[in-house]
Amino acid sequence: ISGEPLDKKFITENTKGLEKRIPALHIGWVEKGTYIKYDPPPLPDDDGILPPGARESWLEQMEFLEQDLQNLLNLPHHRFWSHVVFDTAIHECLESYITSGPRWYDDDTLDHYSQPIVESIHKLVFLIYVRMATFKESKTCHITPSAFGDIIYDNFLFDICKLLDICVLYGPNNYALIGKMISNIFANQPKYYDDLEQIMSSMNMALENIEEKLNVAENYIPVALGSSEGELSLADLHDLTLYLLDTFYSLQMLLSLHPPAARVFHKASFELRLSACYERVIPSLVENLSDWSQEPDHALWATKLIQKVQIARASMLATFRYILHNKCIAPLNTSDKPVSITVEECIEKFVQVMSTCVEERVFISDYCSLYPLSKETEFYQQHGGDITNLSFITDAVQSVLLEMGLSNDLKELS
Amino acid sequence: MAPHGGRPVGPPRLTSFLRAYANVSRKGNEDDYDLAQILAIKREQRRQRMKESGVTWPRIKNQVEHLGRENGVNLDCYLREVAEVARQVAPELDTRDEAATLLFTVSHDHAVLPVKHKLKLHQMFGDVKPYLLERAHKAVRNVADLVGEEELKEMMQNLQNDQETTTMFGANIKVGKLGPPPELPPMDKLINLQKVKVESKATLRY
Repeated sequence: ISGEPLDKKFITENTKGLEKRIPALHIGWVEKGTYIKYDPPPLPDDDGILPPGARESWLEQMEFLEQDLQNLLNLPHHRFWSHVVFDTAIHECLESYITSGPRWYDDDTLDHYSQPIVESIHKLVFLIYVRMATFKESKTCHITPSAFGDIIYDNFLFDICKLLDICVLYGPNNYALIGKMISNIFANQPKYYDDLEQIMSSMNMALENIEEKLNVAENYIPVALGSSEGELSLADLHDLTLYLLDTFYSLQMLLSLHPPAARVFHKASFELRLSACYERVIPSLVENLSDWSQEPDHALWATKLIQKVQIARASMLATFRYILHNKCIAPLNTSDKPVSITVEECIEKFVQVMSTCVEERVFISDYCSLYPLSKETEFYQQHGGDITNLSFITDAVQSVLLEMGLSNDLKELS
Repeated sequence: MAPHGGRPVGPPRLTSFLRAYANVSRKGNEDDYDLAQILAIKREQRRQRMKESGVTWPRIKNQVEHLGRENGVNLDCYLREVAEVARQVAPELDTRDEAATLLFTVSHDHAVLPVKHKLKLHQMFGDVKPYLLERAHKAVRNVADLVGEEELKEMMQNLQNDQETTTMFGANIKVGKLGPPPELPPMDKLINLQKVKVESKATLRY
């Protein structure tokens, strides 16, 4: 590294014969821009026809957006950082893409008109976030790491919602780079862990909303038989399914890309909340959709949604797995583990979580089918742990599986 | 209220809910966003950029005439044809040259005008009659046939290269495309919760 970091650097400008020393990170470098926000491609109406000019108008807007993003990436280091710090309109524009940009599980697919421009915007937005997550761009263009942490946090260049969006949108196809980027952000600004902790109550509220919509919330008062109040339309179920899928795929991606974040989820006992939600929501959602799938006019749509529920199930189980793994298995795997963590403590935590979750019969059956307990038992045994307590859990799971008529799966457990 | 809170429209997202209910994001000001006004500014900027760029109608005309002289052919009639179409699609004097530039630029390297380019022309000039676009395209293709397509491409490239170029951040970063779904775990291991509905034909008699 050579030269002063951006946060301490001054640039000398000669204006009308006067030499001025201006901080490299300064509002004076900013030419306030007007930014177009991303909108998904226009959709045809019920007759399959696009309104006249809709496509042309959308393409024009997207080309303007593309041009703005390219301009930002072309700016020299100090101008780029001055822009992203002092021009909030840029972030509204970027956020419009990461919130509405196409996820692989979304319904709407891109056609051959929209695909190239969306691909281009996808890439440019990604590069801008990568640039904002990089404190050392080159030997001469760099920021003091602690100052970098403050800049990105205080100016909302990144926040937890943006990180979740970035993980879900870019994580699947840019795993290594996004993993590095997220870890870099958390490492340089630990306040993001506090924010993550802060959103836990909202996360619980989000799950509660789903349960309430499906009338399966803990304090739900059943409606009278025959009442239409409790019936859900297929559109409602569609929204709920996609929301559930988006929620857990976002969390799964965050935890897989940055496993230390699981600590916050475990501290809030989120894994227990997740298992209870799974038990209430999944069977109800499938049942509701199965009813709709019996209706010839709606069978196709309902069947597609059932497939999405299946993916949401897998995501919920994977999220649970990441939290459990980070707390009860990973500490024994790392070479630099703290001496204070013993295999007994890990087993105890594991038993604590599993003994609560075993009450959720559908959940525990599914979880143990995808992640057999035998592997955990073997792992703890290899680390010299006393697995007597684990046999209690194994027995409990076995009896649940028997009750559920899944006796064939028993051999996988033992 | 939709379970995801926040917006009345838009895809259901966890983050829309969190933005609306958790206090960890900066709240945007939707009222400040005036798309019509922004579009007007952007269009003006685009016109300005085209004017200032190396690719202008007088320069294209000049270079094509030069190529024609080198090849011993007179191309005036084709250039006039492009200018005439431009006059019809953009009657205002100050946008006419831009129209001619765009018509020439999108046509010079395509034997058949791609739909994407047609859309771009519609975007710029509104509802242009297809036969006009065809006329301009045909004239440009005649130029290409007479002076050689490669020569014409090279000429346009040289005009474009006159513009300042910088290296974009991340030009060497490989970004994964919007792609297929990631590999999913085997779903058949999960409990089948879809019960087959059996309709009983039995009736109760009292």
